[in-house]
Amino acid sequence: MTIGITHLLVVSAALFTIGIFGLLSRRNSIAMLMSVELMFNGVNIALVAFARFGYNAVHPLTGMAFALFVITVAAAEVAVAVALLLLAYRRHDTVQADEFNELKG
Amino acid sequence: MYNLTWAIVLAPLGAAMMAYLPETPRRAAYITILGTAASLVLSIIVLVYRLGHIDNNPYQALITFWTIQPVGQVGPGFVADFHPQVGILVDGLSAAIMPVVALVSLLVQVYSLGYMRGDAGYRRFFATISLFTFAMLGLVASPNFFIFYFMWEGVGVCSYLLIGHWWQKPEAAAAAKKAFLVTRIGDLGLLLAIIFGFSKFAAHVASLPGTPGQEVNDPFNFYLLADEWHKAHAGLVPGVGTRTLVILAVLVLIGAIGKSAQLPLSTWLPDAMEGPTPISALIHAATMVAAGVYLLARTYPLFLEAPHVLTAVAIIGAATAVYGAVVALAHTDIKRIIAYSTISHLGLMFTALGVGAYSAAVFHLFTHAWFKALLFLAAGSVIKAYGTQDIREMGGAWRRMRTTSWAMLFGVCSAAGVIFFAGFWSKDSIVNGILRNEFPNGGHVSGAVKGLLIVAVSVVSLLGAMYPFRMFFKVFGGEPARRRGFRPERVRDSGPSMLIPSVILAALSLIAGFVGIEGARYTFAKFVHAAGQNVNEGFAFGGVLLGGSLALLGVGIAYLVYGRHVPVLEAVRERMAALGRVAAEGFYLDAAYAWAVDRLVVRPAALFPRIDTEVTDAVADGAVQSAGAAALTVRRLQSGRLQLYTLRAVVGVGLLAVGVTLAATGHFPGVGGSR
Repeated sequence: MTIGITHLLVVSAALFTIGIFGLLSRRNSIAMLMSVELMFNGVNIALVAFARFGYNAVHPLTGMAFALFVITVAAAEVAVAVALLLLAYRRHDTVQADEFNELKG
Repeated sequence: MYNLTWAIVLAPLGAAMMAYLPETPRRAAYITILGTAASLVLSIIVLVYRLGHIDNNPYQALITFWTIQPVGQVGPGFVADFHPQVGILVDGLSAAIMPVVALVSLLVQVYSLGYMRGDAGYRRFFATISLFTFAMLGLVASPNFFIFYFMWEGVGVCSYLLIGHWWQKPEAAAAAKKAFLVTRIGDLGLLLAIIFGFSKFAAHVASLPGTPGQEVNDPFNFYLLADEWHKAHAGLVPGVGTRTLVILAVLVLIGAIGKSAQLPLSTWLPDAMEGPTPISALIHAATMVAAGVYLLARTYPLFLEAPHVLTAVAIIGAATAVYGAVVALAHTDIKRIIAYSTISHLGLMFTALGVGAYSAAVFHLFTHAWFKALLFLAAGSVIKAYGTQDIREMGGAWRRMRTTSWAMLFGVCSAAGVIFFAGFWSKDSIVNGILRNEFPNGGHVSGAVKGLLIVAVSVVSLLGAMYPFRMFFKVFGGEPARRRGFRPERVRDSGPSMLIPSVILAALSLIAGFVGIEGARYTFAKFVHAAGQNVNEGFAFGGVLLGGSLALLGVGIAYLVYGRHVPVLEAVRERMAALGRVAAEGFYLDAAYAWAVDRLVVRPAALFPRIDTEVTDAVADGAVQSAGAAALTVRRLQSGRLQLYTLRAVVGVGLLAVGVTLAATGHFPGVGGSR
């Protein structure tokens, strides 16, 4: 069996869906952050898969460079998000997202 | 030479602007006095030059500085004809009046140096007087209705500011407001006259051959319009008939009535006494109220083409003259006595204009300026010395204030028309005018009206001699009434800055009348008449006999009643006390206005707030409530739960993705996919 674009996209979609599910179901902010990371990785796999098998397969570097950028930005985003979570923890003594309801109308 | 008129008009304006530069208010006063003095000197030069060229042609000198052109390209017609000229007009009338305005203003300012000493608004006072002088000089020298109306309103604003000079006093603020609003009624008449006249005459004026030396035919120009009115009366102007002329004349007359405080718009002038006394002198002698008479003199050719309106002018004037004289005889406030005296004298001027005695009206305006300014300035000195305005509390000023007393005596004699004083000559030339009853274009008022006017002017001659002397005997004769905090031995004459103007005016009150003697009188009439008018006014003995003897009789009666307190006459006076109380209230004209305004304006107006509360507010409240209800529903969406928000975002993106996919694959008609 040759591994084709279909397999890769299935893995990608699975990772993304697991990420969304985690994001929606977990109340713990850190777990939600980890879910977002899963979604990133799902997207990354899709990018790399299109780079390898897509229309532009002659120049695969474009999509791969894009994936590298996503990894970089994700790392930076984690730094910011964790710092925010730390501040939120100091303020509320918890990281449960449903406790952060000061904007409730 | 006539270019000097620019400086005459603009010097007081410059002084008013510069009054705020110097460090002390005193120096500000010196600046405005200097500016007005410059105006006076130049206006005398222009007058003398003009007198030397009395037979010159053209009769008037129009000097244009700027012709206002309609903005942009417009087709022929209404707007394209709108090009009023900013400029000055020098003719006999303006050349004769400008020195009067400048001199009265100058003397009033010198007087105010002493009178207003220590006042908090000293600088503001002098700056506004200077601005007032500018507005009046500009009005006198205005070549057309356009500039005239600007200056007319400027005069109104300045009098508002000066009557309300002591604005902290509620009465002064109310009086200023009243003066402004009542004269507004007249202003509206004048404005309508200008607009209506423009709409009727602009096209025809534009079609005339050009005026020599001017870029355009100014559709507001007094002299061009005088020709137009004349032609319109002969039916030579398309679309304009005699009815238009009558409407125009009535509108102009309304303007003059408001400004010159004639019946029924006379109520603002007595209240204007709340202002400082020098301001009363200025308003009554040279500026403001004179503007109404001046307007009638300027537009006299229009009235000659509408003779019935001219009769109305005479009747209104005569009624006002009698009214003012009766009220002045009954009043006890020295300033209001003089104010009603002004109303009476302005009524005489209207009467003179109404019977065609044009130059007599201008002559009376000229002499009235001196003795009325004098009466107010002298009264101001007395008020300052006695600390009251009630003549019943005064008395004995003759021994204590000798110079002021002499000055006041001259003013009173002139106002009463005692023989050889200025008022005698001018009042009697008005009586002559009524007896002659001939318009410059040959018309006349009807015989019945003439009889009425003779009766009225006789009454005014008699009463007009009685009330000044009543005031004089009460204030200067006898002894002051005892009051708390008043010490008669401390009453003494004012300082030189207040006495010198009074003395100059006293001299003028005597000699100014000699313009009226045989020969000079004819020259004066010819000088102030518009070109082409038939000058038929000269010296005559009929009026002298009638007016002069009645004036002397009035003085005699006043002496017997108020000077000697003859018992029989005292008894008569007691009988008349009830009438006196009614008259002192101005025959309840104010109360009538208050009642009418309450019934016709205030009460109907009270209905309008109900529209506000019951319609507008209901709509607004309903809108607010429905918005609130909607907000209560919508706010549930803002649950504050992060997962819910995320879910919505995901569902939204999902729906968008499905939609885009469907569109891209051609499932929506006309969108995408067709490629």
